[in-house]
Amino acid sequence: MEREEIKKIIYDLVEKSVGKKKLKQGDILKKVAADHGVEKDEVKAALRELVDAGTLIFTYFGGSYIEIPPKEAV
Amino acid sequence: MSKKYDTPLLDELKKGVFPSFVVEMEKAAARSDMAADLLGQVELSYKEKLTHWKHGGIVGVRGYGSGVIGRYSDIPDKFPGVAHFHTVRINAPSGFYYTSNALREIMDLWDKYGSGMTNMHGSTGDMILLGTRSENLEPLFAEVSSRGWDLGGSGSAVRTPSCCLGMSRCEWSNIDSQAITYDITQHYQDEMHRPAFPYKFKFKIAGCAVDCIASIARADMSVIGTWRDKIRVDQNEVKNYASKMDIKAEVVDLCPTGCITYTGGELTIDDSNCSRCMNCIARMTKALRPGVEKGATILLGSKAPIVTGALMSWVIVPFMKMEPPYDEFYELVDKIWEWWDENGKNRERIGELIERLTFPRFLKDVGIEPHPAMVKEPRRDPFFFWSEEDIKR
Amino acid sequence: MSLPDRKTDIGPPHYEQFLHPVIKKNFGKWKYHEEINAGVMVHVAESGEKIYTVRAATPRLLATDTIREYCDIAEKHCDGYLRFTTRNNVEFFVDSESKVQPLLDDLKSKDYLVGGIGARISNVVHTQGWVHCHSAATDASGLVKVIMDEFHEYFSSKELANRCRIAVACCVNMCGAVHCSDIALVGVHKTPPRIMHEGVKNSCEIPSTIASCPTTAISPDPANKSVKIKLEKCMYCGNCYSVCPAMPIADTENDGIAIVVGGKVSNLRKPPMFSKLAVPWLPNNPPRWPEVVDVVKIILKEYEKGARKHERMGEWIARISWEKFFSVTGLEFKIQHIDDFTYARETFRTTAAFKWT
Repeated sequence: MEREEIKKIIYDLVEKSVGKKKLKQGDILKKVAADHGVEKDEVKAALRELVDAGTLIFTYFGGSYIEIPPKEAV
Repeated sequence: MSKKYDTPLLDELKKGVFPSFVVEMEKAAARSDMAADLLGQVELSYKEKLTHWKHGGIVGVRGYGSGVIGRYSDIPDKFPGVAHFHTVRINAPSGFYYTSNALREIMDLWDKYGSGMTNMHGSTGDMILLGTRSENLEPLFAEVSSRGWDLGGSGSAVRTPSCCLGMSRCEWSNIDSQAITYDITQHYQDEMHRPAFPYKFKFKIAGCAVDCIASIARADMSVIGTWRDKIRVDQNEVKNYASKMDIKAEVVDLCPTGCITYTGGELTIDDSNCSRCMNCIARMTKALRPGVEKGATILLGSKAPIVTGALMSWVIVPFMKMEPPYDEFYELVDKIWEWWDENGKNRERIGELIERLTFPRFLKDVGIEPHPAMVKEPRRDPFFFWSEEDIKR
Repeated sequence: MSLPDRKTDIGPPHYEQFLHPVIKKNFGKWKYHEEINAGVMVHVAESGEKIYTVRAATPRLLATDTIREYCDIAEKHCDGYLRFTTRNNVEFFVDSESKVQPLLDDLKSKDYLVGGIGARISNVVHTQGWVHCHSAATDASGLVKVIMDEFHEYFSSKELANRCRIAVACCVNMCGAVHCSDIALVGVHKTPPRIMHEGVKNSCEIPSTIASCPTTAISPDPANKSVKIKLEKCMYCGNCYSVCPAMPIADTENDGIAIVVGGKVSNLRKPPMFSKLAVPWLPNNPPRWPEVVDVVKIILKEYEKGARKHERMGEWIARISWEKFFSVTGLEFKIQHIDDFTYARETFRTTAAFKWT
């Protein structure tokens, strides 16, 4: 699977969970790897690109999560 | 700069012999509005007996999920200087050694970008730069990282590993705790800076069972130096101690395993019964030294009482050689993390997970052979499990 | 002004470049050490070379000015080398005995508190408190200050039976794991969190808030899209507040300080021990917490009086028994001392042999 495709899957997954359940990096790696038959390391590399670009960010609320940055911070 | 706020309560804490944290805040407040407002807000807390900090928020440096703790005042209108007051954790060098040049460089940057307040050090072992604004984080990070410093861990990640000062200035250290700590830190940079675990994971490396870094109480993985052969005894030095101390009372009688005898001016240790607690060595450090076949005991699981009670680390590998490139060690850590990732609930520490799923299950899943060193005593109930291969069909 | 290029994942600088030349040269080749007095020790290498360490207390919360002053001292006496200890002391190194006294004189002229080595009270491990923490039930730096002001002689000169490690945690999260200390002061709550329904609805994840409760006191409140608390099950740990800020637990009238004693981390003689409850609650009384200082004074005095050489607080209590500890200190034994949590069963007395007090 192309890197960009994995990135889209990850972003959609995070977007869909907004307001329902905060996802941890581990949750995303597990879910995308299982659902799409990709190696965890590949998902991790794609996620890292998203975070390095600021498309997704790490947040902290008693634990660390991956979220879409709040509008005012963009 | 004249004093911005009256602080009658905090002024009470400028009295007395012990160095005063209030004086420190005042020093920084003379130059920094942030520190001046910190002083004002802490005075209010002293008056109201209430903290005025809000929960962490969404701040960090680009690409990292670690190293910055968001902190905001809940009364920013009153104290605008601490509206943002984020913590930056700088990964300290192993053993907390510095040169004045290195420290001055960081302090100059911190005065430029932050409040001028620090902690030397935070509980986990980072150099803590206390209090800056969100917009200062990226420039500060560029400045410190370009000079060879990096951020420490925070959140659900590997926390900054820390150690005792080890072989650098201690004759008891059985492992090079600083080298091991440095290697672990470099090896797990990604796991430290991009939180991916159910919760935090702390490594603490102690050179011997005196455990000056308190690894057994506060590390998910405690690495404690030990030896497998015999305590080295210098009988001439034993004779010198005999004139200065009561060897029977302070060494022989305090040995928890009763493996030391002292007759005719000669000290004899039955090493096969020694549990290597370090008492005799600590009492007669010129006469007794740890053996030469050195390594470490690996223990797992300690944590503070939140939530179901405090745990101390317990033995999972009685003896491991801790020599570069530490393959056996990293293999073990990776297997444990995989199991934690597979089974751990959100905010569940490794020690709590093992308690929930049981220690035997952990050993089986991770592939570690049971050993009597792992328990204080065997179980007292008859409710044990068997595997399929133990059953006749 | 342009910024330098940022680097990521480089880790800390290598420690070796910060080691004093004598330390670097004799790394791993130390033979023995001697404690010369409360503030000075010498380590002797197999080569015969010596390094003298002089230790002084810091309040941990330090302005950059003070750290620069440490640098000045290190440059004047120690070729610029220094370190910090895990218990927040600063250490200066000199390579000959003749350099020790000038260093001590300099520190004394600047009112530094030199000491902390050997069978004494070293500096206090502590948390952030009101200076920087959102869940602090009390301050930490202030408690450290008043305790050490009271017992500074045990840092700088007077000896005890063994080391006495004191720690302060501003809430039961106990950052820094103070739960294995000879004496620890812990900020505690006495009342359950309040539920701000609007806030819970808007900013908290209901399932993780419910899951955060160790006693299953929290359950859903569908009518309010929030949660409710079974008050009799709550033991005020504040873990839900960590997960959901709309459940504040701070209560200025009822928050207070608990004192736990008898823990240690070293393996010498006896295995590491947890600290156990001596006093469940004392008033949170800043700026100088006289009630807390008084109780610590009593505990320390009895330890000083009763402990045999080399006994840590926990070893002394184990020998004389806890019932005796309460009688010699005069501290009241209350229902809160009897455990009703995870490890309760292990603490009940299953023998008819105990001491009359």
